[in-house]
Amino acid sequence: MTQYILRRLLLMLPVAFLVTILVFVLIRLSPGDPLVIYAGEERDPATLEALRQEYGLDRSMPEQYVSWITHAVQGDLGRSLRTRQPVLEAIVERLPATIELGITALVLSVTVALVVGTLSAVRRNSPLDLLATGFTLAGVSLPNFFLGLILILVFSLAIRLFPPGGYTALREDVWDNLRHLILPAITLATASMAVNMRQVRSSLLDTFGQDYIRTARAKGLRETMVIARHALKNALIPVVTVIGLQIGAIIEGAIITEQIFSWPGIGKLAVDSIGGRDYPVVQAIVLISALSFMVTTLVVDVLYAWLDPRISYGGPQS
Amino acid sequence: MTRLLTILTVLALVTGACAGTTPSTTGGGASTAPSAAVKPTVGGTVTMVLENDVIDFDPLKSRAFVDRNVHYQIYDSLVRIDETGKIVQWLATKWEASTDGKSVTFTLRDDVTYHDGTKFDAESVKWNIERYIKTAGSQRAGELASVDTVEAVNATTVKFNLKSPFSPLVANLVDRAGMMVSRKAFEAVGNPDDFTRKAFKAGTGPFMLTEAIKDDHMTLEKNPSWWGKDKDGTKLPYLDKITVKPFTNSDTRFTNLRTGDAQVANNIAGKDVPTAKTESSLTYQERPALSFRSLIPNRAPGFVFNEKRYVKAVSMAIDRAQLLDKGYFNLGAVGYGTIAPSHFAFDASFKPFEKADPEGAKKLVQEVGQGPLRFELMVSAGDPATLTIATLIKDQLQKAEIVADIQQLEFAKILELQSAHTFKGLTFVGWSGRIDPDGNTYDHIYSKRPFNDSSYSNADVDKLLDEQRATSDQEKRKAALRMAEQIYVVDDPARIWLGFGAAQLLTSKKVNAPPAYPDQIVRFHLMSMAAR
Amino acid sequence: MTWYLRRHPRVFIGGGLVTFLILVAIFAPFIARYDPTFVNVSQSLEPPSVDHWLGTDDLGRDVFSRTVYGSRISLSVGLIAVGIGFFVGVTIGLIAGYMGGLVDLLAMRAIDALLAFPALILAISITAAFQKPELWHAMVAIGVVAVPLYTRLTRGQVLSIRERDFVLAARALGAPARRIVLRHIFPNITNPLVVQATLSIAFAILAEATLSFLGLGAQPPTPTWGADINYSQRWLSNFKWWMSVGPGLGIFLAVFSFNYFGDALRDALDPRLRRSGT
Repeated sequence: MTQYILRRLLLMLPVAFLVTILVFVLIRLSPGDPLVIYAGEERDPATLEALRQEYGLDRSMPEQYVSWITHAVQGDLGRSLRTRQPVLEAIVERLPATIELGITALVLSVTVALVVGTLSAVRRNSPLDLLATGFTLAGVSLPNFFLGLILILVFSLAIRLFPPGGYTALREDVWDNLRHLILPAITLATASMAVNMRQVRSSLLDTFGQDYIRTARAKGLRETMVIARHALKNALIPVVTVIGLQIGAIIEGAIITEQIFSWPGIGKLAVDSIGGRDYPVVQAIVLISALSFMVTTLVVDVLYAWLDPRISYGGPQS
Repeated sequence: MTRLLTILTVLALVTGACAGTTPSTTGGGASTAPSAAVKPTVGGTVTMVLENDVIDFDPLKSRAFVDRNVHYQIYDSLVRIDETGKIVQWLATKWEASTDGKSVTFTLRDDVTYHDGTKFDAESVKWNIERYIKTAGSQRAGELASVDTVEAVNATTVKFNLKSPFSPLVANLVDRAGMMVSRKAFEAVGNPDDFTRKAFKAGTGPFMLTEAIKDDHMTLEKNPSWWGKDKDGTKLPYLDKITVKPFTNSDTRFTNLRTGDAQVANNIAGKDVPTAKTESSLTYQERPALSFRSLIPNRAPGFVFNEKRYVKAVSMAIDRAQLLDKGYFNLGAVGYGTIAPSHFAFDASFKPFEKADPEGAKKLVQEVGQGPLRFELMVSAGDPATLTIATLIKDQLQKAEIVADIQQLEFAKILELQSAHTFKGLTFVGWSGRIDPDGNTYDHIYSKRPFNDSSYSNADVDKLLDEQRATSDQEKRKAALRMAEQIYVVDDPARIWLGFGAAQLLTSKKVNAPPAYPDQIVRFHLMSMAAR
Repeated sequence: MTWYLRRHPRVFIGGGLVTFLILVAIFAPFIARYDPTFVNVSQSLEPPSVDHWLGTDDLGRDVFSRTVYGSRISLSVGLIAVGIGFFVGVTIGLIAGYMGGLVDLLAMRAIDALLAFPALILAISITAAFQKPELWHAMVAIGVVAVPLYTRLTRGQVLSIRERDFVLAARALGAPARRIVLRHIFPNITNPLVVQATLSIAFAILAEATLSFLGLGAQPPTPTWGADINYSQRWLSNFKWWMSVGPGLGIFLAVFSFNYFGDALRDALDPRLRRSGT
């Protein structure tokens, strides 16, 4: 197992390297000069030239890459071209907002998925099941920017229950933080809620067909006990996988959701930085999300093996 | 130069004299809060929603227009403007130009200290101006290009020696180029890149920056020892604290005011103005601003708009009144050039394209004899408001048989094409406006200047623009500016101007709002909480 | 046929929905009641009525007509982008899976890199790198984002049947690799690929809408759903909801149809999953 993890970690290096090259080339192929973009109404050529030299943007692309990657492996991700804030600090500053939104969405999504998915599997083909299945398909089919806008229309503009956007840090005002959190969390959770619910339902149905469940039922155990003790536990294995993959989806979804709700997190920073060609910030965000994506996948795989001893990773590459 | 400065000096002396007898105008500039009858409440906290995050708190590095909304609260500059756009005393109580126009001497207040406790004096001015001029990559170098050296004559007198007479200098010192930063605070931070993000307690202004979290919020706290007083002698500012929250989405800003989550905004979409005016919990104020809206053609050889008659034809075919009504929702005013209504050189009778003339435009295109006119109209991607206006223009030009193909491009790409002078058709460009008409004109029109994106070059215009810079005679400047405007708008058009913007101020009824200023910046030092 | 219909009614419902959408796209000029780009400011911001079923936007354009025409962009992007992703992804998957060894190792690391790259950021960056947003560029961007899905799926399938008797037999007879892959392996792995392709069309339509929402898709005045929502969202705060609802329903219907169809196909084509029958 340890060997497997080590091998996977080792394989991450070339992948991360490829990702950095890809992002470096793509963003620099994109038209536009970050200094001119951020110059706004101050476009004195002499000033721009001085800044270009100071920021090292006058050097060749390979030179810039080598310089960036040498610093990056030492943990120095440079400074934002727009704000001159150290990139790492910029990311760390926005992490709490993104993590709070992501975790709330994930918890919301998993809770609803487990409860409704279980009920739906137990009462298969009941009106509840049909409703839940319908909701599932509807949920994945609704673009989150549209859902977000509709939620704002109804809950902030029409009945003025929640603010239409913005953020208050948790440590500053818990109540205000929650008020701002609810709509974006629902927006972000909906699509993955649908996928999770479908997964819970079908793997439970799968498990219901297994012999040991039939045995448990034959032994006269109460239905709730059967579900809680036996079925749910085993059904969780594929669910864990899906949830793991949903973390990636939530990171993706956060990009648009943060944009719509003016949520000051990583996603908003990413979109703003691409638009403004803030090279160091884009590079760092892509690198960090790629790394966390790979680590998450690894954790899910390991968890999977741990939950289901039948799976072994000792053998040849799968 | 001398005469303008003399006029200004007289004005300054008049207001200064008032300050001597009654403390009414000190610091307030023109402190005419709407409800001046009631004594304002001291204390209270307000939240302002701003259209973007403030990037640079250091005036030296500041590029974005939006930064100034905070700069004006935390820094004082040598001079300021009143609500009509007139230059008034601020840290400098009077200023005088030498007879040859090659130096200007400022007399400074002597009761001013920085937030960090250091004293403000002539040495401090010298250090600041030299920093703005000499630092590599300084964004203020252009505005102060005419300044050769600065001399601290004594603690309260500072002399600017100029390379050549430059009449707009004092107007430039109203804004960031005239803002005073504490040397101690700056040097304590060390790295200028860090100072521009953490300029805490670094100015002399009515409020102090105490917290700044990117894209989230900024906190400005009352400077208890600010020098300004209201007309009753009460120390300004009244408010204890301002929280500034950046929201790029105008709807979010407006909704925050409607729900009471914020109390102040200075920029809301035109479509929401009717609602803002009728909403019982809000007060809406508007005043003509110094900003203009324009379309830039590429006048360089080899591009379709190298032909000046094409530029004029487009200008003739555009129905500016309809654009203002349906595109800008009547926010702002119809306009044709760079000189805005609150500029001294504004000519209200200058209305070259008052009525859209598609027939005349059609004739002009035929006169060129190169067949029908067709070009690209570039719009920044994901900007619905501009897209509406572009679609209206496309529709209007159709009546003159001119075809505009709307092309959405990333803002970054448009800027690239614009500054490389390689774009094919027209691009939208706005300008936030400067106090002196020179700031709205020179760099946009004069050959090879940084904002001359249309590659425009007209020797007569260049000559007139140089003339108005060198003379201090306001009448002569006015004449030269107007003569130039006739050329670069009508005879040999550099751009297609669509109109002027408006300065807005939307406040909750929970606060007593100061008037809106043409520079669109909120005077928080005059704002107070409404009496319960 | 009737047997199949009775056994898999959902395939037919899904297929019907998809056919309906395609017909709407083809016959858009006959269904739409106005020119979708016709500006008429005297009739701007009208709520839904008999004349304008989904009202008009701020330029007086008919929202229903724009929504109908929007289906053309969404469907063509969906089909072409998926076509690109399918072709490239399956090709790489077949080669990597069949050849194994170093080729496989290298190809899969590149695919891993694409997969680890946040998809939306990748799509935005690719469109930006094209210099100019155009429909075609959005299609390529979405296609590239979809590549890893197909590669991984194909490779997994190839690995699972590579050592089967009929493949080994063909190889023993000296058939060239190309022939083995295309004649013997590929036909045996099409089912999961077809299911994946149908589901990816839904994904591609959603992705196009998102890119258009950010202004990086087809150019105005061409009506597209994502761009139209972006265009009209500012009017939501003034309760001119119909401008956004038209294109919103368009996206929803299209994505729903392909998701439903793909789901049904999966049930029908994959016997392992049939039992759980979602």
